[in-house]
Amino acid sequence: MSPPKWAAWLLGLLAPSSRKDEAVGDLAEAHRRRLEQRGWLIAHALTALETVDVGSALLRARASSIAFSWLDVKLGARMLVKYPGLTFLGGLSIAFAIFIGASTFELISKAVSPTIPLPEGDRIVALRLWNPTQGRLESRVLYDVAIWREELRTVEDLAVYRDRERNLIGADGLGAPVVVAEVSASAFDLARTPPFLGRVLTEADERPGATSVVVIGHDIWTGRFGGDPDIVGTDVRLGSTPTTVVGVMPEGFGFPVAHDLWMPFGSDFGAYEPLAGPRVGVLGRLAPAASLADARSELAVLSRRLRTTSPATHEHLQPQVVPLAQAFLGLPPGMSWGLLSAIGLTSNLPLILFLILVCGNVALLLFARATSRKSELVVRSALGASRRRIVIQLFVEALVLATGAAVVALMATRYGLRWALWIVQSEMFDGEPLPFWIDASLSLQTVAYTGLLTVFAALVAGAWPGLRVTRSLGDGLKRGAPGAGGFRFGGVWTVVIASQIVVTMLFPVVTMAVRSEGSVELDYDAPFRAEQYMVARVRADEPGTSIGAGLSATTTGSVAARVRERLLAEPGVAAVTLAERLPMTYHPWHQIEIDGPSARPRDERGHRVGSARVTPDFFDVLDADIVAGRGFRSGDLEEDARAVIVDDAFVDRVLGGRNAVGVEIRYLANESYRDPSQDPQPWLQIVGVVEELGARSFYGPGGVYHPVRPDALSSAHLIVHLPSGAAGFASRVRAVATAVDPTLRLHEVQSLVQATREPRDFYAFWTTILLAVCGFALLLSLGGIYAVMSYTVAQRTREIGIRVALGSSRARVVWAVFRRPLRQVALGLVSGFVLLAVMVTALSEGIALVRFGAVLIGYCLLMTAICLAACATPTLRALRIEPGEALRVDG
Amino acid sequence: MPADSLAEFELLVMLAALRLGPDEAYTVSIAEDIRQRTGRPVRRANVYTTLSRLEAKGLVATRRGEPRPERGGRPPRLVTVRADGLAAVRATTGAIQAMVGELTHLLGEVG
Repeated sequence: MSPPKWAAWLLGLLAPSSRKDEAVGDLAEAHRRRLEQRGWLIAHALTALETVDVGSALLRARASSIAFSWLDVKLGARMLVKYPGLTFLGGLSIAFAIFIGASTFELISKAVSPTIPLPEGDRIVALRLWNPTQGRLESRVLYDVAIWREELRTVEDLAVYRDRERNLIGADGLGAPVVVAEVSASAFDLARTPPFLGRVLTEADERPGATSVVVIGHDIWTGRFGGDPDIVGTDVRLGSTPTTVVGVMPEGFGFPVAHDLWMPFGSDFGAYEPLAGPRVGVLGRLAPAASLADARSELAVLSRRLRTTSPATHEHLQPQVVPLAQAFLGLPPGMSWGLLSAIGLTSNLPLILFLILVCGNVALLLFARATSRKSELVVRSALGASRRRIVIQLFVEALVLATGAAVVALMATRYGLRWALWIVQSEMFDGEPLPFWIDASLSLQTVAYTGLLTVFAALVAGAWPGLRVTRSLGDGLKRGAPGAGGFRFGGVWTVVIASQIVVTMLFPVVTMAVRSEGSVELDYDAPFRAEQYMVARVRADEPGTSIGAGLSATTTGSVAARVRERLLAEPGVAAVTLAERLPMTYHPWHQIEIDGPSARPRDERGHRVGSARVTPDFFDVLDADIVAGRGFRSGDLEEDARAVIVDDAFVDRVLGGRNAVGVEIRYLANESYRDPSQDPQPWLQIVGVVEELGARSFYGPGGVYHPVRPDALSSAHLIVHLPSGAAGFASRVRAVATAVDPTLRLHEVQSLVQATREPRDFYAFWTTILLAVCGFALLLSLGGIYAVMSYTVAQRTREIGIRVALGSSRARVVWAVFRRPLRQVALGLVSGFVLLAVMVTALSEGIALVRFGAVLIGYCLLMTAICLAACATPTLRALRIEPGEALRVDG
Repeated sequence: MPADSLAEFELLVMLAALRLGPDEAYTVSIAEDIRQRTGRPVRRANVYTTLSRLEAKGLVATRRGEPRPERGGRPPRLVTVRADGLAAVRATTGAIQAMVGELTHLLGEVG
């Protein structure tokens, strides 16, 4: 006769504890009556319906007891208008904190658990072999793939692919590079994505002698072929190979990684010996009901068997099955995503502490504002508002502020994400396109996370001060004197004030450091006129990688050198050079060692600088002066030559300004996980110093230039000097390149101004943002400290009156009042100095205490003046009134 | 100050509570009484919500009753109509009677 257990449990859970017995008892009684009147089945059905109905009513009742009303929201909005300074500064601080949190979250989720935009994309896995003795992945696995295809039951639709970059030559005869995936036809079964037009690749396309066909991506279709609806069946050229378009894939499809075109792989897997054949990637889909662990176990069993049958090649190979996304983000073997996340969190600890301080700062200010409204709160309390009601109101006020800030933060995140991905692309992918599942859009999870941060910010900035302020509301009420003292700042506020002072001490230093770092980039004045240079990144098909027939087996550098010769014959062209990197752009960094004294590096890991290989005429073409030593000579291209040229910035930053000519340097293994045991490179000799050409790495300016023959460049930039201006020359460069060799791919054909705009915009954007935020945060902190100190002194009006009434001298009274705030300021300043000293020791590069000494002394004086001003106004006011009056008013 | 006037369902709940008396008026019995007398289904959730509202207005008071076996040994929350509640019932029914007035020949006796 008893009701269903789940129903009793649910109501017991949802009902307030005081009404749990009633709700469950009612359920039991009503169910019993129904059983008697309606029979078992109908009684249970009705009880189930009623449980849901009553449960939701109880839940609504509970929610309404803590929820806020629209009136609170309106009041909150009104407060924002009433205190515009607080709204602006507080809102900006919260927005900054939320921005940092949301962008970090979005980036981590994009890396750790991205959504693969394919049907059941999370079940697509990569299969690979890890060679622990060589510390790298073994990708010559076609022999293994043939076995896996036959025997694996936990992974289906096995597909292989390899990347090829090709020149796609359209009807206009101009070539433009595309990333081609040579895939087995099963890749399309694996992706489960139907074509937008035409068909996908089939097994028939892979057979020997089949017509060369290609499936193109949506972007290529719209960008190169103007969205031609009759594209299917059209002939195009890939390099020098004619091929037929058989299909167009839908927008956003870049499977397996970041591909624009798909061609048949066309290999007979069974024909390869172990560890022979081309290097490929292998993908598959977990079979229904199979887990990742099942696939790993099955592959391990197969692998053990191969170790027996092919010990010479497979003895050390370890099979791996990893989700698609993880296979392409270069996670070091042996490191889990959890560990990586933990490292990320730990390394961001200072940032998290800073965010807490920002929120604490807003709390400090809102607390000061809340205390200034004590009369209003006491009246509200007297009119029957409970403490909870008042705290909720303060919370909602902060929530309104934080919500506005969150909207700004999300917009900034959306914008900043583009820049963040650009850094990831430059730093981790060497400029190559990012996987197709990574884009600059905000995920719903990030929006939800931002919501959580918003509530957290409102709790810290609204509910927390609310709880402290309302703790003594009862006392204020008992005294019957709205405006009477009663609120107390506890020791926690002393800590908050001292911490604020510490942080505000760091702001000027950080601001100046950022400004000086930014000015290196923004104020950099190139020795050449960027608008006179047309640049392009060039690549050709390398020997041994040709697909199909007719592709030239040549190198990028040698073809580029031929293009250079042809361009020199073009009217208007003054000079052409080739280099691995463009001036004024990002250069990947390398760790170096100096033979002899050097400036103190930024950290104990030593100096890191950018580097680029350039043809010997590079400096001449760019009109860059050799300021010491000599330029490159033809002899420097000899195999055993070790000459390098460094720039001004290198001399300043690495050598501390000493004479660089003759100094020897060498590269160390990068501090990466890839090959920690790599031997150091041979010593190189600096033969000259060139004026700075804007080579920047992640660690700042400073570059090393190596001479190189054109034919040794596997990836090069063409730099064309056009004294009459680079505008309109792009199509000419493309036409010349295609005419020289249809396989030569030209990327980013543009003027040097355009090529260097993005990094400069990036620095300008971040420098401005950081300076603005630091400035506002400083202002906010000073405002908060002033408000709280002023308030605490104002609270002592009565005490001052009594002291004066009892005959205490004004000097003694002033000292008694000023003592505590001054102590707080002193505590903050001393702690700040200690922290700064630690920072300066840790980061000697860029931040020098001496350099900021004047700023710090000025800051200490400013801080003390603010403290004195905050205390002086209320003290003088208290001293001016008659003691009796003070006693009457405040007693 | 005039007594609160009651919404229709509030009036029904108040009348049921008055009829059942302070020792027998609780959610389940009130819902059952209204169902039997009006012939229309009553959602217990509505009775909960209405009783909470009436209690918040000070029209009824509630107390914990004795445990009862038919409730699985759990006590009901008994409802007592307070003086203000009675006044509200009188005011509402009085208003209805005044409005009905000489329409009794059309509507029959009310109240």
